[in-house]
Parts: sequence; C-alpha cells; structure tokens
Amino acid sequence: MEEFIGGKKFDLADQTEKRPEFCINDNMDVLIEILKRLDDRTLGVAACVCRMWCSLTRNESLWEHLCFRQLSPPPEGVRAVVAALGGYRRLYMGCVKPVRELSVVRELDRVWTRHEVELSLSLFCVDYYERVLLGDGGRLGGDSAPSASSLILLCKEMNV
Amino acid sequence: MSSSTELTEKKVFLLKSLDGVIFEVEESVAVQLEVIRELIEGDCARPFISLYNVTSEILALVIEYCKHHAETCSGGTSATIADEDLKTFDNEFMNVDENILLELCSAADYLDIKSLFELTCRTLASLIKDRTIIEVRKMFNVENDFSVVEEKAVRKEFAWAFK
Repeated sequence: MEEFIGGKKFDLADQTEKRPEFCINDNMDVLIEILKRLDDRTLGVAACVCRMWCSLTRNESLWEHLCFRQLSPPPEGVRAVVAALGGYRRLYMGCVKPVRELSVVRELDRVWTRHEVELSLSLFCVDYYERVLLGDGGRLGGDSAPSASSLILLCKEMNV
Repeated sequence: MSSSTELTEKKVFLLKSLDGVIFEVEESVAVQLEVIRELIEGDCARPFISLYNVTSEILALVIEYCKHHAETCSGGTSATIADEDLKTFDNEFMNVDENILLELCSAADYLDIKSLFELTCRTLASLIKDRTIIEVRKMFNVENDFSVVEEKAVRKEFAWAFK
C-alpha cells in the first residue's frame, strides 16, 4: 500500500469504501459511557432498544451514577448500605427522582446539595422499613412510585 | 541550558493509521493523545507510531481537533475568549453523522483523549434524547433482537419512561 506523509494527500472517497462496518454494540465500554450521560426517561427508552442495551440499563452502576452525578464528590461508603436496602435503581426511582421533581428548582441538571441526598437516603430507609420489615414485599414490582405507604406523600400534593 | 536551536526547532512525530496513511504532527498535538504521550516519554515513538484501531479518515479529524485545541490554548488569548472559541469549534466539529461520531468516540477512547471522549459521548447521548425506540434503532443500525414476549415485558418494566 502506498503511504503518504501528511493528511491531505489521500483520497477521502477511497477511504470511505475501506471503512469497516462500525456498530455501537461492538464497543461495550463506549456504549456504557453514552448510556451514563442519558437522563432517566431516555435511559428507559434505551432499555427497550435491544437485549444488550436492556441488560446494560439494568446495571446498578448506571443507576448509582444517575443518583449522584449532580453531586461532587459523590457520597462515599454508602454503596453496601444502598445495595442491602434494595439497590440504586430502587433508590433512584423511589426516593431521588420524586424528591428532585418536588423541589422548587426543577432543572434536572442542577447541582444537588448534600442535604437533598441525605433526605433521599433517609426516605430510602423508610421505604425499606415498610416494604420489607412490615412485610409489604408484594409490591416490589412497582418501579414508578415509592412502594412504602408513608412515601405516598411524594406523589401527592398535600393541602396543609 | 537549552540552546536557541532547541527552542525554535519543533519536534514532530509520525502517526500511521490502520489503512497505512502517515500523518506528521507536532509535539503539542501528539501529547494530547495520552497513549502517544506515554510512548514519547518512553522514547518509543520512532520511526512512527502505528495506530491499529483508527482509520485515516478518523485520524485526520482527531488531529484537526487536537491541533485546534493546542493552538487555542497556547495562543495567548484570554481564558474566556479561548473558552468561547473552543466551544464554537467543538459545536461545529460535532456536526457530523452518527457513524463518524461513534468512530470518533471510539478513537478518543483508544487514544485516551479525555476532552474529545467526553464531547463525543455527550453529543451521542443528546442524539438519543427525545427519540422513539424505533428511531434509536434506525439511527445506530441496531437490530431488535427481543422476542415479542420479551419486548412487551421490557416496555412494561420501563413504562414510566413513555408517559
């Protein structure tokens, strides 16, 4: 093959023909990094694209990232506790997303305060207590709303 | 003490793409490719560096990106003007089709160029946003390998995303 010095002396059209077929699913590391930068709804849509995207979307590390990506530095040492209480996906869907949606400033990309994270983690403990310890385990399938009855307040407007 | 010739003489490196095209780049550009910086520091960059995962088409773009970033950062302009300039450049640079974006992203990952990797990942993520499942499949040429039952189940599992 002929070699040229410099970028300008080769024929672009010729190179396009030789370009190997490139598929997003061939490079899983890149795909994970792209999925990490999606918002929650888009991640839900991405899960329905194919089997590979679906299994990657179920990965806890993606939900951990979604829970804490607006917080710098992310909370340390909570991973084992979150896993024991039901995992990051449940934490996000039940206690992070609703808190964020209730907050006065609704920009999803704004930086989160440490207090808001602590609030979500506390609510997650309530969720665990009612769901598992009080034996409400039958509602585990509900992913869109907090399953503990006390956390219904996160979904309803209250007249005080 | 460096002599004046050493100060003015710019070091160049040769990068060879997968399809055999050789690119000449200055040191300020080459060091932005983290993999190559390691080779240069280890004095293993002669006579040229073979990049087996990057085609000449993509490597030309990567070099254009690194060159612009190197020039802007060393141009002596104020930080805010340089920032604005880079933002405009990055936006225009990302104005390519999804396939090129994916290849750029993969190349940035392989060559370890953090800013380009972040830029391409963010751009690809923004392309997925607000699209339907079918549109995403079509855009990235991904086959739907779910069975009918599986697809129904997964759509139910993530039903909240479609509300």
